[in-house]
Amino acid sequence: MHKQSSRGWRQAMWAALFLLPYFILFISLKIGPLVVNFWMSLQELDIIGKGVFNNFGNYKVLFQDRLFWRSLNNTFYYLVLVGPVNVAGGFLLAMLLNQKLKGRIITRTVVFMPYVIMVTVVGAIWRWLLDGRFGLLNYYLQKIGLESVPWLSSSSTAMIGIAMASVWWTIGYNTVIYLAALQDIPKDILNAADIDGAGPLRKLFAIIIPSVKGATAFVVLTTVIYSMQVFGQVYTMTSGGPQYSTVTLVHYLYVKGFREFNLGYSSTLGVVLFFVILALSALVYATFGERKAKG
Amino acid sequence: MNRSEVSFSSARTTKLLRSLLLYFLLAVITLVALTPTLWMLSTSFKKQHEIFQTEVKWIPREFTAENYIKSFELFPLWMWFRNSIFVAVLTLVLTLACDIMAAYAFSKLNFKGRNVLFALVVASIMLPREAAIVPMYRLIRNLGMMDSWAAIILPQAAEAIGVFLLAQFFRNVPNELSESAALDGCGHWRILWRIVTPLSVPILAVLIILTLVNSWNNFLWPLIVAASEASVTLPVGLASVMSGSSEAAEARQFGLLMATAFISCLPTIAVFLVLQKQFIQSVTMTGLKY
Repeated sequence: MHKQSSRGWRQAMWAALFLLPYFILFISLKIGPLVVNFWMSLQELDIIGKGVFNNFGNYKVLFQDRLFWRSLNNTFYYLVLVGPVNVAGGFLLAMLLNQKLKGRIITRTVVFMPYVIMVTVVGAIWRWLLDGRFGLLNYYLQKIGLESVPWLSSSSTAMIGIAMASVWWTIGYNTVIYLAALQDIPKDILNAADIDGAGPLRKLFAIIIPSVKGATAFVVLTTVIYSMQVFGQVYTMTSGGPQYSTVTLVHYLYVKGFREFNLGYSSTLGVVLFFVILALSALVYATFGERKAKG
Repeated sequence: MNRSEVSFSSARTTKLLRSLLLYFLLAVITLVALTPTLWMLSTSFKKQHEIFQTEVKWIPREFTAENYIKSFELFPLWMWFRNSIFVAVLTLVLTLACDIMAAYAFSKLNFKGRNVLFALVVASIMLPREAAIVPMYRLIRNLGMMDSWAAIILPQAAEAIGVFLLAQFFRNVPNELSESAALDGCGHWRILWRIVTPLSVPILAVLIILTLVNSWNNFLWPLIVAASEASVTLPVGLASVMSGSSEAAEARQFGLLMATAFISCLPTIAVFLVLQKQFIQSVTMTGLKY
């Protein structure tokens, strides 16, 4: 008995020792700041000096700040543009790459490769591709007889330009996740469906889509979370313009905090981001979790 | 007889048409996906007057390296490279050291509150970093670390994903091995580094790729804390070339911009092409974003 507890005590000592270095970082730079951020959102806080509690002043400003609502709106617009294309497109690409075709490995490589490129390079490339006068996209649009579009310099198309860059950058990620899921579907199930005379559409809806539901849940969740945090593309391609049409939540948070040094207000925007992501994640979990329980 | 022959041949035609269509799709997708990267390359080797032309030429009429030379002359590219490399390598070393030890504690040692702590660490993976950026900034400032490598490295090493991945893997390393080692008088310190870690090479490879690429491409946080040649990394440096007025002269020099962009992402592209299998594995195994 005594020996047992001394051994347990020694294990706990080792555990404390092993956890110490990581937890210093984790508490001071990961979990701690997240908690402190709520507290800072209640203060008027600039770059130096102590904050002053201002009786929810930041939140009062927030609700009347039209630019904040605009940024929230823009962020959701971005999600609507990118999300469906990235999820459905990723799935369809994976379906194609799952066929026994020569050269599909090359296509997989090419589709995934943009994903390892840094966001500022993505922004630079697409700013050039989407240039109003000399851009490649407009050149080909005109070639096939369409009007050229002032992509990034018009408030009605700038976000679409950013969304195109994002899809190019990240769709390969979803493709690879779906491809792995497709390859995990047992072959005999598909063969049995063939023998039963199930057509391709029936096979798709009765077998394939239900089988990759886990992947879909994951892909939807990450697409939503990362869309809400879009920043680098906006920063490099439009700086939020023209006429604030591409200011997103995180871009606004950055500008308020680190251009205008209104740190308290920036924290408040961080709190909003936190709850928006929490709510959307819960929504995704609820949607996919329920169906799982039924199945 | 005749009819079945007809339907047989029509089935073959359908099959042929189907594969023709699929190959066509494959080719179009490959081309479209490749276009931006190729266009960056093509532009980077063109002279300024050839870039701003209404007629598009994929192959430059005269190849020039002047954009690359100018890029190194105009911008402190070597400094940005140096900073990116040191930040990535030091982040990797710190991450591996901290994560391996923490993961061992979570997977091989018994202590009170283990599951709660582990759940907290795992839950933090999905939480948005941006929602904590102001307190992080205040802390780094108060510690006098602004504009240093440490400012960029420490928050990256605080990420929890490595702890999670390693702990999951360590759990499957058989306990008999460590128990027999313990009988031989090995302490946990030696079991960890001599037995468990060498058996975990596959997951370590995944973590190494994730950490290096993440660090190389990390943008928002370095943008906030890096200010001078002492710490500015490639993504931040490239952004500084582009920012300010988007119609600024340098930002409109697309040859120069594309050359600088290509130099910045060449390392990750090269490593990806060589270690493609491991990259894709690191995504499918972990389901993780870089």
